[in-house]
Amino acid sequence: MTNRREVLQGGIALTSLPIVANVAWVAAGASSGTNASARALYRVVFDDRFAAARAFGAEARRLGAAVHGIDGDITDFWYHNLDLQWRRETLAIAGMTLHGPLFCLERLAWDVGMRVVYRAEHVSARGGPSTYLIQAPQGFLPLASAQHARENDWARCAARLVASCPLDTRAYPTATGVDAVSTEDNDRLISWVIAPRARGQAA
Amino acid sequence: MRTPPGVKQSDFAQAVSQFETAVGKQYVYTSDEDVDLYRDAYSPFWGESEERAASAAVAPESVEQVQAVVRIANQFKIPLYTISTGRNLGYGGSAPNYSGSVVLDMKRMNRVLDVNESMAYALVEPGVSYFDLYRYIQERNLKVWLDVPDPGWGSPVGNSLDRGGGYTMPEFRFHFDCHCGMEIVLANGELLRTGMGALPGAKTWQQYKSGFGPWIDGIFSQSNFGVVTKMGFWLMPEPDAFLSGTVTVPRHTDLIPLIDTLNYLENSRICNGFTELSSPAMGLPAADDAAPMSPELAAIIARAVDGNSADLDRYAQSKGLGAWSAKIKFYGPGKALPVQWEYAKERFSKIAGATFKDGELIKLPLTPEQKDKVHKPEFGLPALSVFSMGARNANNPTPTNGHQWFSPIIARSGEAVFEANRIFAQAGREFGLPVPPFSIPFFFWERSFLFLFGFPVTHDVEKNKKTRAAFAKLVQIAAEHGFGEYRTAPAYQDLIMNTYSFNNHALRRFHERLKDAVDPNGILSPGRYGIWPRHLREQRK
Repeated sequence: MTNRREVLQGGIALTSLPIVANVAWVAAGASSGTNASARALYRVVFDDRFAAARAFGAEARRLGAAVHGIDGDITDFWYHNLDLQWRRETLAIAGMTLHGPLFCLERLAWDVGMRVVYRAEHVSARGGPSTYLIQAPQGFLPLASAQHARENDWARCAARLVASCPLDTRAYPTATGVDAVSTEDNDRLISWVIAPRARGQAA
Repeated sequence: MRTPPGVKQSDFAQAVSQFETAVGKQYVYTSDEDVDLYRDAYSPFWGESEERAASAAVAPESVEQVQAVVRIANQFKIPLYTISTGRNLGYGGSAPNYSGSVVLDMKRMNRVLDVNESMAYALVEPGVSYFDLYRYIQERNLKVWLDVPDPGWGSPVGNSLDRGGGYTMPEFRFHFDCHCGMEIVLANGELLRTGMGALPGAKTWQQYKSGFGPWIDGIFSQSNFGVVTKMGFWLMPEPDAFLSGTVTVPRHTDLIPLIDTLNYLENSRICNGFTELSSPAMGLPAADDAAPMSPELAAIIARAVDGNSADLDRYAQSKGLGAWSAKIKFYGPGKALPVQWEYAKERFSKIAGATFKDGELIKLPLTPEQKDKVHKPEFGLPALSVFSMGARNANNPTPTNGHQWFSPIIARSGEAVFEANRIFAQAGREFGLPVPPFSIPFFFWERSFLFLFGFPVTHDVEKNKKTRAAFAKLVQIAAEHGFGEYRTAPAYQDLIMNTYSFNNHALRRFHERLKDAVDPNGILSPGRYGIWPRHLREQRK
């Protein structure tokens, strides 16, 4: 049976050239200081009940993002923070949460003309690495696949990816890298990015 | 671009063009990407050809724009499907009954028009969410509460029109009941106001419900006779304090006097909060982190459901558990609530072996720390916390993609709870239906109980087919025993309307006569709650 790493690396082989520069960029972000992309996110949300999500949040903070921990319930974040911001200006957000909070945020985002532009689903295998189902803008997909295939610290890798994902809703998300992931499973952590629709598109 | 059934593509293109002129091009949605946002995330037909799907959507910002859209739809005979905020998950979401309808999305009509603290009412447009109205009230420091459903991201107008419920005092929990005055765009574009609103310059539209002559507000709920553009609501004055207390009774059959006593106390307004019933003996409702029910206990419960509760009583006694606990709640003056609870204890003490646990008297308003610890809707606070559940746990080993509610109304008595459980359990055994071991009733409504069975929705076509068949079977069995559902998703509205069949479906036939009279082209939400326009009636299932 093909494993996750093989599936993802197969994906990379198809489109190797365009991602080289991006890989270098993300790698630079991984080793050095903050990056402008992370700072452009209004907030990075993480579910602090999960160690992986906490690691994701810590990495996002290290990259310069403003982070916000939740306990699975987004009510306070929505009411006291995000709703007020999105009434003023729709700014992109990212996060690592379970399905439920993302389900809410995605629908609330639709109301103000925003879309999920990046979604990677992480399922903990028994003591081993996670598996992924990734939806990302076309040009970013190989990079995301490659990075997740390469890195063992998938949570921190996920943070670097959301921090560098292009906020482009015109490139419609595309799925890849499926490895025995059940889409029925709401218990998976998902890293995601929500961004305003590209200029010129209807709100 | 998708096209509504029976509408020529050229006509639809003209209609869309006119919609764009009426509301602005950017607020007419025809691309698949946009229109797919109106899919019902919890559709029991997900991914099947019968899944309800819109052809387009149009989002007006004003009453005049709604009138224009309706007139255009009438001209081209375009079916519309009205939503407020489209959050009616579990009961259909924002997908239309009739595939190919154009969703009339009211969420841009999101103005809070008035909130009066002294007379405790609000007047809002359909796109106002509970969060919006709550924020409006908080920003002005008004001492009034909302009664919110859980979750609270929907709209007071939409939830009331679908006859949803909440968690505070009985007179506010049934959301349609606490509305006062409506404004409606009729199918011909005419504007109608109900109650005192029919009087030009009325000063009491949100204070006196019925106005003069026939009181027609009810026909605009769970229906398709008009598009509601404004609605008034009575609000709850912020109480001084909140108190809860728990009574526990030892025997399974004690449920009968327990509920009789509760009925007296609630109907007399001695207790006035949302009672929570539980069964310590049966471990119901099960906590998320509880161990799965043992086969031994399941067998004991099955015998109790069948009428022999002696083993269950022995089991409860051996474990030191009560058969039933009721957490009773009170809103009112801090000085009065302990006295009301003492009186309630006196009444419950007539049940042999009843024991009591006093809850904390909470002075209101809540502090931020207290808000984090309470069930927010019971304090008028909209919340989304229900979406933090659903993760895998012992009692939920296979989380799903949503649910559809089977929600029959049951008489408010212990005998009725036992009878309904016996009937549903027998049906479960006979037909292999996913019936819970025992259903604990909910106290949403003032004079009746609500059972809620959450049927899982998945993205697996075969599983969904089985679930739909089970749902339909339960509807039929419930109806045969005199239990009807209060609300359902479009997938089941015809099925359930068919069970309200007294005198050869006199009620439905009356609905249809009304429909033909007020919407002869059948453009408004065809099929909603089983009301089809004449030209589509033959396709009713």
